[in-house]
Amino acid sequence: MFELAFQVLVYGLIIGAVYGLATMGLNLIWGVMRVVNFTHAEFLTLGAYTAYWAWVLLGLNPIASIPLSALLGFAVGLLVFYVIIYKLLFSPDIHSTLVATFALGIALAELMKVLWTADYRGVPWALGVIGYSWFSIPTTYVIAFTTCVLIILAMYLILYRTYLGKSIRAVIWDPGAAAICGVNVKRTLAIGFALGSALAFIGGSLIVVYLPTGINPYMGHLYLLKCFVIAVVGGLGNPWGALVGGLVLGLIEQAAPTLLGFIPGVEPLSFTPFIGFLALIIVLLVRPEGILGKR
Amino acid sequence: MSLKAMTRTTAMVTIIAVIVVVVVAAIAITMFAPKGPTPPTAPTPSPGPTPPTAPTGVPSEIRIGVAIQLSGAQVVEGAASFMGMRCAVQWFNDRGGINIGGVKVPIKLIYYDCESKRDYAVKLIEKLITEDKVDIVIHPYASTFVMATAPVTEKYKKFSVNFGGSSDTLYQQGFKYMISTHGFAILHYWDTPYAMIKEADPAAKKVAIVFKDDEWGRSLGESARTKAKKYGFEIVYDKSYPPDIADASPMLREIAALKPDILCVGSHYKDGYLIATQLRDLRINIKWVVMQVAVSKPEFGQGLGKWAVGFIGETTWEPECKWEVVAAKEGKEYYGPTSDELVEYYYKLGGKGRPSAYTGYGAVAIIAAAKCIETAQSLDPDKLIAAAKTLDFYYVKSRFKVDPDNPAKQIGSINPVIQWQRGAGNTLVYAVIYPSAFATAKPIPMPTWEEKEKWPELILPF
Repeated sequence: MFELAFQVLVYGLIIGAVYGLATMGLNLIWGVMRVVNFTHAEFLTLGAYTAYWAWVLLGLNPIASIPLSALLGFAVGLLVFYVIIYKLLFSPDIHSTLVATFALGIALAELMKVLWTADYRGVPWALGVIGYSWFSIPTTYVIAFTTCVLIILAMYLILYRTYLGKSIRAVIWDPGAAAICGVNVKRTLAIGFALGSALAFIGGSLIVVYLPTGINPYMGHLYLLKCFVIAVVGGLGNPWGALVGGLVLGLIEQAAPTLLGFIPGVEPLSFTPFIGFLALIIVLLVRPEGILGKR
Repeated sequence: MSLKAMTRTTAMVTIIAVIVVVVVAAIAITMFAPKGPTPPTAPTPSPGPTPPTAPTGVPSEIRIGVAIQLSGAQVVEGAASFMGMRCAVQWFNDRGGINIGGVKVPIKLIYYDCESKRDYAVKLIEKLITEDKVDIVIHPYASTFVMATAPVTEKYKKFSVNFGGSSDTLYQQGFKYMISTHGFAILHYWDTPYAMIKEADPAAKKVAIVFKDDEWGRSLGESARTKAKKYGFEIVYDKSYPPDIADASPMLREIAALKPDILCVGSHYKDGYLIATQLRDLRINIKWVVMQVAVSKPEFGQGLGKWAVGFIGETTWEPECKWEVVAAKEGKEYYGPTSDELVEYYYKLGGKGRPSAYTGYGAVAIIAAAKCIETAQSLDPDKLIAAAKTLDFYYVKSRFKVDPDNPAKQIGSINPVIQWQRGAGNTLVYAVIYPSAFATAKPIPMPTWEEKEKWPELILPF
């Protein structure tokens, strides 16, 4: 029993960290400009495709492709912000950005289908396992987890130790006061959106490590639902809330099938998403602002 | 120029630059990307044999119509199946055609691309019947398509062939003018792998069954369960997993704790491949791992390399299948081209690489229709269906025999078993291991992951 519990804990933390990173971008964008970015799913998918093409064309493994993914994500984020988001940000209809990102998401998914077909693709990157008798874990998982932790640390340094980070946090707290204090709000919003997009791209590239095949134009939607659960559970608008929410969902996904297996007549894996959403409802009832959300 | 205008200009330049970079990158990736399967080129209407002057009542040609997936999501399966149909048509026409009333009547294949859209396939089937006046209709690939198109052929009382729909619900609809050549999930799967394991490893007892929670997966799960009991295995785990599964590790850890001798996986390609890699990553050693669909695809071996060794799958046709040998052994009739001939025609008609099982699927649609015509000596749908009910013969994809009370129910089909093995000179071999009549290798239990880790990378077969 201890062996099973230990494996659940380790795998839960590892997958949870990637979920957290993938959600961080969504949370950052919501925090900075109160925009629910439905294109997040396609940004994740584009990140996964970046890792795939970097492997096929340049021979780079998914971790080595992260700088490329981040740059591309940042550029795409800037483009989307200036061309679409900023024009709608102050629209009297609060749903306009929501509809626009939703429409952009569909357009991007269809564009990916036209360019790269709907075939399932994967990166067969394997480096053996790290193990001790009853416990083993693929080396690539450990590398991805370490990378995730390093990126989260880098995000911490950017948000808390740089002028840019302080500007972003100031805009999250109070855009009006930030502007009075001399913060260029428009530029901060643009960088915040671009940073959020880059994080989504990076998340997509990291997911490739765990997904031997399954990269396709519509894969992002599976993760978008998880991202919403994570964002709300962790605390909307708080990038660290995403990390906490990610770890919670990662642990639920790993532990629930084992526990549900003891209930006769229940299909453990099919029932696990229900547990995830149940956790969401409980958090919303008990602490509507999420675990790390501000009251 | 004002500061504001300059800022706007800079912003516009930045936007344009980024658009250019993204578009150029996408175009470059597309240009360098490995190309997907090329839809087959249209069969050139070759002059062929001049139709003989037909005696009264004998047609000058047999018009077979097909609406198939030559583009869209199911182009791989559709194009390969269509290639099989073309090969079979060419094989018959090179021999003058099908014998009706002592005259060889050539086949004319009339086809449309349904673009992997069901609604469009329905319209095209109707067009084939009403405008092109075909004698026989071949349904598109996949059960969901056949479910949509079969009511049309039934409405017009047109004799039709289901070659690629394997859902058991298909023969429960009461279709009267449709025959099936394909094996069905509940009826035909798991029999041969279980029989093979029973023969190779009589000590194997405990079976774990996992299957995808969709119609196909549930049918496979039900079949695995029923057949396990039939062969005297003890089921220690029997659970489904969601169709969009992205992590099977919790399920696999539970299975590992139960130490089964056999793991049966009812999957499609994506989830099957995920389970295979996670078995490797978690170092879960199970002696016999039988996985439907995924294992019999070349991509499985290409993706996993040496780690694919030991995985077993069921297939419907492989170039190595020599059913003529089985027919001779059993003293039964063999009809149509042999596998060697089919492969020969495949390359003659421009096929690339190794022909897939779908080529066999498509070919038998034509072969079965031809046999029905020859037996009925007519193109009348009622006579054709009556003839189909009496037939029992071997062809390139095992045996044809339909339920006399329900011709949509194929009951003769036999699925060969294949296994990825390590061959001489460190090659990865795709071997047929059952039935033994034409097996190319003996079955082996799955080598442990620790053993495989020590091996060098194996040379891929295809």
